[in-house]
Amino acid sequence: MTGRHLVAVLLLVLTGCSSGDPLAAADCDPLERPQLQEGSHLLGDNEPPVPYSSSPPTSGWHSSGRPLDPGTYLDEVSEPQQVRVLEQGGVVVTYDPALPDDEVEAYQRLPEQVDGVVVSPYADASAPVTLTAWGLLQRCESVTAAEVDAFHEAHARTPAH
Amino acid sequence: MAAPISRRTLLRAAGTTSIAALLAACTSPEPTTEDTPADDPSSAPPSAEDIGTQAIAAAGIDATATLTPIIATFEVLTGATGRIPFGVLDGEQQPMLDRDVQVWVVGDGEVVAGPIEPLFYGEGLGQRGIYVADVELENPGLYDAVVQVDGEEVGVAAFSARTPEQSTTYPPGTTFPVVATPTQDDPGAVEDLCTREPECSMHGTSLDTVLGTGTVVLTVATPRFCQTAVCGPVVDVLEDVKADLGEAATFIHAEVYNDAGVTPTDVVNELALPSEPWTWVIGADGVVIDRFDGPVVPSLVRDAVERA
Repeated sequence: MTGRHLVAVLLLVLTGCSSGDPLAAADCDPLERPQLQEGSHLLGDNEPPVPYSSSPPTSGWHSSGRPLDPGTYLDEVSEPQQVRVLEQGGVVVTYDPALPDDEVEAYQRLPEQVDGVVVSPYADASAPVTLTAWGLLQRCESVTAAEVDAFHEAHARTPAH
Repeated sequence: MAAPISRRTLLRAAGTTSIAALLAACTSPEPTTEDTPADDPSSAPPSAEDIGTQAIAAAGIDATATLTPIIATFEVLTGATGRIPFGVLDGEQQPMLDRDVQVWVVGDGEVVAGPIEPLFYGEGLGQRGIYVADVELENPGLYDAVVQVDGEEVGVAAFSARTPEQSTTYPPGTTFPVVATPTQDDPGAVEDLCTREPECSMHGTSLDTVLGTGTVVLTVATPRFCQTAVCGPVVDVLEDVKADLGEAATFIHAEVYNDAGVTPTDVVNELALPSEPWTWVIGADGVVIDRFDGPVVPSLVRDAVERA
């Protein structure tokens, strides 16, 4: 665990953690565990042959080839590309592009503060901001960098397939 | 955001013992983050166990989903050549190999096929393996495969079925197009002729020079960028089959990308592949004998070559 991770955990402990969910004290819904899906690799802009089990997706068919580098993407990262990031043990933060500019800018700065995170607008957002890792999803009203770091530390993983 | 100086200060102030105590307080005796339940069941999001309940009930099974079937096939063909290759992961996400498995196919809430007893193929696949359920579906569409292991645990996975006419790429019985594939003598735009390590032996011949003259096994796959249990072994498996079959067929491997996993090759574009990997066994008349969408099974490839 890095110093950054320790700081994140400490901050979250200080703000309360009674359920073991690192974002239990954050402005988030309970952690969701959508049906795990497996699939192979999609080429180009092809859509998955079956619907994802959640929106945004947390597993299933994903893009082929080189995964996206961590960072902020101003254009929406496609769902198969998002799953590809998760498959590589990353975390994806998607935000509602209709949020106020200052909130959008804050989320776009997250990769400067948290490793292994891809940030993207998401037109189909069902919450202001959503965090995903392989097989896991958390919808939030808002999140801080420390909370994203804690989510990453707790949940980022590569699948066993 | 915690600045470096404040982070150091905070760490210094906290100390390792305090951190450990705080972590312990945070995680015990409550459930772990992996098991966090919602306080109000009525507002709880659906869990993996809840999913597929209708399909499981349609199959006449009194159980909840605890397994994860892996169906890495882009499309299952309707008609007599339908085939569902799949793997199964247990609740710990570990593969369940060579078990007593039954499959039901459920569409629109009704069982349209099953129970099917799939065959397990482990030969040539190391510590992995694939079940294959032959299925004859009448109609295209989305289906659920309900998979039960040892008469107890069950899981559900969706798949898409298409008619051979709707198929996204060349199904059995169709004439395969004449396409040039990169070779050692003419790699074209491909920077890395083979991303397998070591390089495979299937880059000596271009498809366009042998199609229509003898049996061909063509695979389009990228070992470097696909290392899962499902598609990772495809080129390895075909190397073994090639060694077994000798001169019975010409084996050709074409990579998916020209470069580091970004630009698709001309082969991928000319075949308009929606996904990868794909493998075809093509007869001497240029007609597809069989195809493998995703994983390949050594004995099924051998069978197809013998039928060619």
